[in-house]
Amino acid sequence: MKAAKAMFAVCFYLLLLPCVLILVTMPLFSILDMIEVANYEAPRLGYPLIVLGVIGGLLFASVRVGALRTLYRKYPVLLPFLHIAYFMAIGTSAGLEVMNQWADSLLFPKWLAIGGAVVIVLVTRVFLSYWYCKYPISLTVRKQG
Amino acid sequence: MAWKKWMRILFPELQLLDHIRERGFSGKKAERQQQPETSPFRQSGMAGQSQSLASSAGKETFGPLASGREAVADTVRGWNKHAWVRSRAELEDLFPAIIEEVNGQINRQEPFVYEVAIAYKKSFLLRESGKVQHRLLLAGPEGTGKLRTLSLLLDQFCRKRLLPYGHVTTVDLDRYGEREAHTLFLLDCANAFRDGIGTVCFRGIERAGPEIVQYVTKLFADGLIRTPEGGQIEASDYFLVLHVDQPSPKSETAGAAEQMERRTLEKMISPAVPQALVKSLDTCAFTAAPGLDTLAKLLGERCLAQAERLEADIRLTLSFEESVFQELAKQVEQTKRYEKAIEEWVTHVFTPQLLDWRARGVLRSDQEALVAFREGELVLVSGAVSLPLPGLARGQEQELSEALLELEQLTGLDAVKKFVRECLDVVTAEKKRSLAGQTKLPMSMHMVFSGNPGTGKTTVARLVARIWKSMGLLSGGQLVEVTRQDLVGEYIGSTAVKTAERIKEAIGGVLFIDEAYTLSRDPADLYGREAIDTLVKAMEDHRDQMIVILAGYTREMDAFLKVNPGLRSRFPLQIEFPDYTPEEMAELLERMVIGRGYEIHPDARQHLLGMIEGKQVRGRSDTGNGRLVRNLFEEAVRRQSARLAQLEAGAEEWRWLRAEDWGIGDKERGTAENIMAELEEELAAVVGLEPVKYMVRSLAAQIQIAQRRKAAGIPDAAGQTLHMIFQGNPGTGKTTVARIIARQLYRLGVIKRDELIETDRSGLVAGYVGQTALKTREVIERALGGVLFIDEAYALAGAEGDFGREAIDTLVKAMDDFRDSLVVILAGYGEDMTGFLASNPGLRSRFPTIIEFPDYTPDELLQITRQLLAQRGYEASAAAERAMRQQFVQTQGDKMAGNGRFARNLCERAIRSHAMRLSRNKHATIQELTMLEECDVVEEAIYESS
Repeated sequence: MKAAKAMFAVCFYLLLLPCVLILVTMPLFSILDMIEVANYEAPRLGYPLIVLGVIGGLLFASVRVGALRTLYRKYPVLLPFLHIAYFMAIGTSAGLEVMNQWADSLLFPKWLAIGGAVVIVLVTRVFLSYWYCKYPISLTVRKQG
Repeated sequence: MAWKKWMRILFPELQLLDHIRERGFSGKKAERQQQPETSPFRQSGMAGQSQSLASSAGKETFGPLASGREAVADTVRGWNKHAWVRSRAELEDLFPAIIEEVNGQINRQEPFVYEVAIAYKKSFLLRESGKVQHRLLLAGPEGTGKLRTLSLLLDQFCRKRLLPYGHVTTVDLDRYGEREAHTLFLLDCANAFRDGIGTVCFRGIERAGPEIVQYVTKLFADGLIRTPEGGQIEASDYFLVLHVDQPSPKSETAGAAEQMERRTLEKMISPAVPQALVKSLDTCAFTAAPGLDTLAKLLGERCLAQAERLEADIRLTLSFEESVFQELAKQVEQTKRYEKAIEEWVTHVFTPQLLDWRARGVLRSDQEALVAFREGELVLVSGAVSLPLPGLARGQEQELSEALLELEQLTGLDAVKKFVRECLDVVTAEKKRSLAGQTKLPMSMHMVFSGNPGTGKTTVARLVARIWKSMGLLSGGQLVEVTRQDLVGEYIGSTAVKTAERIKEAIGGVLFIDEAYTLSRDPADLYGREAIDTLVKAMEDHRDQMIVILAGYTREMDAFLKVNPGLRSRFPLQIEFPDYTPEEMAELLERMVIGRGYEIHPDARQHLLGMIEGKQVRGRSDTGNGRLVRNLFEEAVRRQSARLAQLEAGAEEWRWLRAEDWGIGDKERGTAENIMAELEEELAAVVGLEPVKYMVRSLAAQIQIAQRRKAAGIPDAAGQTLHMIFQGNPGTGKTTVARIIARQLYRLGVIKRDELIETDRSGLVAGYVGQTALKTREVIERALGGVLFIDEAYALAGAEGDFGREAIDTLVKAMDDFRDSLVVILAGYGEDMTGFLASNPGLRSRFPTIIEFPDYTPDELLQITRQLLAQRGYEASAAAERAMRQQFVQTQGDKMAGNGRFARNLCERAIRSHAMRLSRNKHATIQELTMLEECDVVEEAIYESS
């Protein structure tokens, strides 16, 4: 039984690895894409939202299922890391989507699109700041809290 | 340094690096660094961090939705919690203006307003967060603006940015039942304290259950409530207010009564408020009862404002006389409810009455009307018309005295009145005990009213509801009247729902269940049991909020209370409603007549009592009491209508109910001579039975003489026993004579109903133990007021253990209990009847009169046959008669032959034969159609013998 669980966990992590890579790189590429959309006024293909959903589901499963949580027990920093990466991925994807909508249909002015994207990203950052103020993982923050 | 912290908050990625540096990538570095137990970071250290990670990693909080919800809730809570702080100097400037503003809207409660405002100011000056801000008591008479003052102050604080909210959350403590203390009450409290900041006011603690009082006491004392599930409701950063309606200590010491000692103050506050709670209060503010001038001013303002509105809405110009407000103010003062009473009167009494008149056209558009007092009554004067206006709602004391007066004015029911007064004394004593500081004893006020219908049970129940409401024991005082069909459903499970709905209607009042015993008549009645179980449970849950009164016949109610083991103990108060005496019914009748606008004519009045006595049958449940009175009155009105309908009667004549309307002087019973003449007529129609006729005549004469002796005042203590035994073979006329006797007894006035109830063993005896007595009693009750004729009575005397003996014993008892309203005639064969009388020692002595019915002679039988044939339009030829006589001679001496029945059967057979014979003859003459021949009689006899 233990061996089966271990096999299952290994297979899951092998599947999770590319997702994590995507997750980590997505914010950076999304920001670069946003800049390009603003420059060229043409939409750029980003990651579809379904990808974020699937990655989110996998991350959720990795936290909820006991056998899969071993990774986080072994490397505790992974959890907040993925947490930050996931929320940044959502925020930047949403910003890129706004920019693409502008570039695609020109229904609203450019400044509004850029402003909206920036606001979305800022809200995401504010949320992360709030969360890690409320649940800090750094002793420095806790000492002075 | 603070900037390091802020950098890490702005860029949480830096916290990741810190985490790796502190704990290592795998977290093993943290395990090597053991923090001491006393470290202030223990809680917020490794365990705290891993807890933090665990929580942020989150089972539920990992996802964006859950995290987002938490973020929004925190934002709202933080916004609310963060007081809009003003500087202390600003507070000094703001408060006088706030107090002046509120005083402008509240009448003559300046000290009270000041104290409440100061209570809040103290908290603003201290600016302590994380604890209860202030514990405040608002006490004073009802309707003096306690809650309104608080609301106005909070509104002002919000406008001046001293508080981020401008409303007060109210929790009514008296609305929760016992079972809801740990569920609904805690839920409502949790909701009240959900926002993190606010003012919560608790009302009705005087009437709240002990569990709830305990919770509130803990909340005020500790600032939190621990729930049974282990949760916690915190009141940090809240202002807690306790609202109590009670008379002020003195009218001139409204405010904090700061000159008084604390102990004196604690004693003054209602005994319903525990001392522990009183001790935890920071400020006590009392309102004053407004004076007459203030009330008059308030009334004036309110009424004039309403008059303006009415002028705009319904175009009615209202003005008020000068003295009206002063007079009304006196009435308001009596109610002890001040502004509430004013508001209720204007909104629910005065305005609806004017609207009603306007809608009906009594008051017309653009009409001017003056509200004034005339001869002590409030009226609306419009032109020449003066319309009475309802005054203010009476105070509880006045309501109580009116209800008690109404109770005293009920006819009869002395025992019931005494019972209600005693209950009232117990309640009053209990109130005084609790005012003296002694423990309040829980008392059950559920009652059983037993008695016949029409004895005033519902009327008294209604008065009990009013009286208990006036005493403050019931909040609503409504009477909900139900019977079995209102409680029982059509299928299992629906009964509980139906019963629960009626119980809910009755909360705060009285639930009156009429004929309650019908819920348990049949042991297999599951629906009735379901209703009873639901009722018992509700009586526990709403013990102080509802009174249940069960009503029904005495015997049946006794049996009902035994059905459920807990029932009898839950109904400690049981009162019997006796039947009304004829005198009491006469009084009831008089009242009913006058109440409906009629009058009893003098020529009828003197006979009224006799008429009622003649109608009421003791022991019967359906012929007396209130119902009889109502029936007599309605019958009289019907007769009067018939009498006057064809005449040109004046208005005056229509109100008189004369003797003929009441049926007094009807010839139904007749004079003594008429009675004897009628008796002779009836006896003449009976063939033979001369000895029996002699006995009947002598009985009638004996009764008449006894009546004349009684009228002459000659005493006869023993009275006359009229029970009889008819001994004779079947078909000897026993039933016929019994009917004649019943009719004569009615005409002589010995019995009150011209009714003969005929039965035999099968009508009295049932198949199960205990059922025979019930069955027999039912038959006896039907016969009360008339004659009970039991044929073949000897059949009741069976073997030992036979249920017939049960019937005999029940009969013997009934003959004693209803001596004046029942005559029993037992009939049967001679020898069998002798044996029957010996079976019960009491029987023989109760039947002094034994009448022997001899067999008919052949000639008598022939005479009977002639009568029967004549009734049917037939005639027998001489030969046919000879043949018949021959048959009668042959059967003489055979007691099973049937006597009169044999003669009747013979006639029937002969008529059938005659019909058979003539059916083939299509041309029969009338003579032939009516004449019976010998062959008709003999032929049938041949067939019989063969």
